[in-house]
Amino acid sequence: MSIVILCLFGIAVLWMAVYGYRISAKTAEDYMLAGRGIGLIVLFFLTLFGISSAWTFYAYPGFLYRHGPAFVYFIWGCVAGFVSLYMFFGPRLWAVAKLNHFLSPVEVMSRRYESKVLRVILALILLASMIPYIGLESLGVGLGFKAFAGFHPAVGIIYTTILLICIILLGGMRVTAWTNILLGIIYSTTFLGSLLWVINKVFPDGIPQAVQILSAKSPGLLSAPGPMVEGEPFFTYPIIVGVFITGLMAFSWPHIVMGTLTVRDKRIFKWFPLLGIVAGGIGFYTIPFLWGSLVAPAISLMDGTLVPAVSGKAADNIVQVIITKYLPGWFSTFALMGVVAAAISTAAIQLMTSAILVSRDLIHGVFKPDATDKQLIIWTKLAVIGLLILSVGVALWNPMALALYLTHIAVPGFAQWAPCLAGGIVWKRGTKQGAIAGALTGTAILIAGFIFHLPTIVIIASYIINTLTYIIVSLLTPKPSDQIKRVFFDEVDEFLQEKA
Amino acid sequence: MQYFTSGLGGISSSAAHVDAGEDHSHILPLLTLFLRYLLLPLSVMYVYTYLIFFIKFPLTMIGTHCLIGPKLKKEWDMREIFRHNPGRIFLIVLLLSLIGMLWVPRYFFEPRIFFGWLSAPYLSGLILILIWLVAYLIYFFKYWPFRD
Repeated sequence: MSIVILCLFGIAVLWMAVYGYRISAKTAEDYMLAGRGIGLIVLFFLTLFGISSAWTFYAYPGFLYRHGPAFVYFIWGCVAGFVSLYMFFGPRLWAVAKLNHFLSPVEVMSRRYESKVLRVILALILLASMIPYIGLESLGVGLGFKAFAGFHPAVGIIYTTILLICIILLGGMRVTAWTNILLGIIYSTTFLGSLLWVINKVFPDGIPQAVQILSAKSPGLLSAPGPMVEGEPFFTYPIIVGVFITGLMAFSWPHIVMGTLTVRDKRIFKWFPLLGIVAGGIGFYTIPFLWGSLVAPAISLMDGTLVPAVSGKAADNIVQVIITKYLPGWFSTFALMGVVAAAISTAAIQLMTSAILVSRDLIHGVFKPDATDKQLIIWTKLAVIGLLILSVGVALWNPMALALYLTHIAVPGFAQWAPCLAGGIVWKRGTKQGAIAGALTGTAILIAGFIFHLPTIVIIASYIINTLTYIIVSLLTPKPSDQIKRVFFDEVDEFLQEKA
Repeated sequence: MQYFTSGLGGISSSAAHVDAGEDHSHILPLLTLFLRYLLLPLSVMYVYTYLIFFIKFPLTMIGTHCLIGPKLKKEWDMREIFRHNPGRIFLIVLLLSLIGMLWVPRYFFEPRIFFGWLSAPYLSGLILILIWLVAYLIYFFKYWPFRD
């Protein structure tokens, strides 16, 4: 049964990839940015399920389960950050890229600041942050295969790798976006379906019954700072503020910024925040919150439970364990499909973005500026294969170090180009010296914190110091040229004021 | 599965991970103290800086030029929103809601449940998002700054 369903799922994805390949225009712009023709609904799925990886299924509910509801502040920060990207930066970034035929957001920044050095620095920072994340998704599917269906993890890794290669090599960004619709629907249906089914089965009086259990057995799980960790409060006031700020930085996640360049016309920026807030922030992200903060801990603490309370990292599997214990065996296959969908939808857009950074920003931008469209596409496809092998290799090579690496480097690494990105779009006075100094300083602090095991508060410090360095150095160095102001500000204003 | 999920958990907790049980005091103790006690003011300052990048309102609405300076003011470019009062009001509402989000966590330290199931951190975020939603709907659909 499992094998049949997974084969059908794979065939559906493969069919979409082949169809996408047949209708594509075979140009670099078409392959990398879907011909700048992505509409509202496709963009919404591309973005929401580019963000919602297997992390949303495993780690987020697991973290709430262990530490109480305060971590939801990270998600609220993310929602505000993503929406801000589409409200404030998106139209300008899209307009300048469309007018000047830029194919990557890093290319936009390198032209804005007139610096190839900055282009290499940003590409390397973002690649270093993204590659392990991609590997982790494949690895996660492999281990999900083992947990849900009893397959060897290698089966899941190979399955995911084949699907990713088909999606990206054949269809590029267009098929990546299309498949995200299919994957997103599968993922959200599985996730929401399992939640409603478990609530219906275990708590006949609904979620308030779960709250009553928690109030009686472990009231600490209903408030900050959450249960004590080795005698210490976990979510203190500064930490809650810190996770919120980290969430706000989500406007700079490169695979999400990439989405703004694929948009068909500016009216999409008018409607996108509505979907982002209602369907994404309030709708989809309430599911893992209810799972992790109320349903799962209440099930673990109630009398006669089939899933006794777990601690530590085992809590990250809590949703999966509850599904397998409380729901019929056949549902596990759908849950596994949900995990596969979650992992592939995120890995595909990250892999596509990473490959564009390699081909467009590193190879074309530095070594071979006169490359043709055909060469660019070939390099991007080769980069996809190379990056996929590299990412899985890194993930398998040292997973324990990888966990620390992700905690302290990867996601905060995305934020290190945030001041440069935001300033480049809305601040005429930002200079290349400021951008380079800010990005390097912030990244250096991040790496130092990782190597010397400094308190994680250093991550917040890296954002602050990066931003301040960018502003101060920009003010101390010569202004950008008039041509830059014309191309990146005046022409953009005129273009955005034209009728759509 | 364990190490996989620990990695994913790590992503989520990039800022939330307190290195519980590890004594870092021997490593750059002044830096540690500095960060620990100045985190909140630094964070507030940071959010302010962040908002300045998004929002020029502190310079245009309340005239606090001294914070950044009139020289800097000329260089900000989000004129499509700043050039009219609805845009400025829109940005003020967003700013105040974000400041509110930084203010309210002080009330999270007692179990408070609303409507039978909403915990305080979730409810506060929901209110933030609803405020953003209403402000966005009014501004983007009545005062959309670009031509359709």
